[in-house]
Amino acid sequence: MSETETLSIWSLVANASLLVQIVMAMLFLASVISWVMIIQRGLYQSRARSSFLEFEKQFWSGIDLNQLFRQGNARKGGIGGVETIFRAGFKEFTRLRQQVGADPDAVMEGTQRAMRVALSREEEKLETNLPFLASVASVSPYIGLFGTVWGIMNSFRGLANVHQATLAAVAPGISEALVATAMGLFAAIPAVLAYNRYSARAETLSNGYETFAEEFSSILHRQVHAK
Amino acid sequence: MNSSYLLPTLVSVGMHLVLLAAVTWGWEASSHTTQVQVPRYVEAKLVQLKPQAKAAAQKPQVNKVDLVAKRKAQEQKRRAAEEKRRQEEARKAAAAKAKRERERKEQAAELERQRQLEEQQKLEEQRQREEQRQQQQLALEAQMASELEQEQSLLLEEQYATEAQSYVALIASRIEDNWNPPPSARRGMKCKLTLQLVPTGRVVNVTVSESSGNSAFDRSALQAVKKVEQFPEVQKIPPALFEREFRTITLLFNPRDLRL
Repeated sequence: MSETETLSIWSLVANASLLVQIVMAMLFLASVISWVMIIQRGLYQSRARSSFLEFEKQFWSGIDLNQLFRQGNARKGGIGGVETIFRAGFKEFTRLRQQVGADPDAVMEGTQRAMRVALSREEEKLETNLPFLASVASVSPYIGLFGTVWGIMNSFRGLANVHQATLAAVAPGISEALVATAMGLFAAIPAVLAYNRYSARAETLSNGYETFAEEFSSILHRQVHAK
Repeated sequence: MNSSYLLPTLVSVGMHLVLLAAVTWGWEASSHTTQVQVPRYVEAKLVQLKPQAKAAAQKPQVNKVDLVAKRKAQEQKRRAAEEKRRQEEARKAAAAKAKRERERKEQAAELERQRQLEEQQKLEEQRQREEQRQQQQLALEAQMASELEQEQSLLLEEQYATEAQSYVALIASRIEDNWNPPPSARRGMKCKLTLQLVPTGRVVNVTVSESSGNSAFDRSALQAVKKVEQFPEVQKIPPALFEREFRTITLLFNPRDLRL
């Protein structure tokens, strides 16, 4: 008896029209995927940040650059972030310097170019998936709203056919329609938060990378012109 | 890259499953339980009274036997003393003893009769109590039935009332649609109209039963009803409801969209 009377959320979803159901499924999927992105981004960025700090500490500890490079060679697989920039620049630098009669400016230019390429790759890596989060954040409320409007439209159309207008005739339809909006907001809110946070963090990190590249190239510049 | 997505995927899917489970079991939007009135009565059972009665009946006998034994002992003592003196006295004593015996038997019979009487009384009482209980139960059931009936009729009444109200609202709005407000009409003016209808919805007679105080307004209201002439909504009213409420109805004419 109470089974039929209480409106469980499942019965609401099951009674919704096909379009609203599709909207709900889409939003649910969007929520799942955006959470995958959120977690993956969070892990990746925190790892990148800690490795950046660690590498910078090591770099400024006065270690020999050749040794630092060899250390990176020794441990394979875990290379990423700012270390790639360093390695790209250093490799190019040593290669160019080995050439006989290389112009110091040309060496510097080549090194800087190599570092710029590595830097832009790293920036790209930091920001992968963020556009997806942004589009989930901005679009899913609209999708949910669309489902709701469609559901309410249907339930009012049904109301027009009823002789006596009662609240009980429209209430379930409106309730099931509102589930779509709720789901849209549910998907959008974490995505907005995550997007803002991660894009700010990616910005900070890439700024850090850039600064490092500049500093490193100034060191190399000193070295190339010192001889 | 693939493996870096594995953990997030698992976590995310798990989170959503947990959420779904929470929504499924934690969703109690409108669970109003209908209360069934259970008749409240206490069933009376005689559990302890009977054994007590028996014990009470047995006790005097035990006492009696005790007394007799004592008395016997005394008698023997006395007899032993008296046998030394005279046989006759002994015989007398024996006679006395026989008499006592007889008395005792009579007493016992009396007690037995009393006990039987008591038992009978008790049975009678029990029967009466049983009867009373049955009567009470019957009365309770009757009361419940009548209450149920009352409630049902009340519900029906309510349903009628709401239905009637919706029809009255339809009629009033139709009158309002056909109403030409006179220039002197002001916001808040209202008058009561008494309409006599036939089941086809035709207006047989209409009068102003309570004036608004403005005769032009009253006349315009009458005019509006006459202009409508027939209310098609009335045809849809179920006959029982029509007879109850709509043969003659009094409705409040209170137009709301007056701007003045």
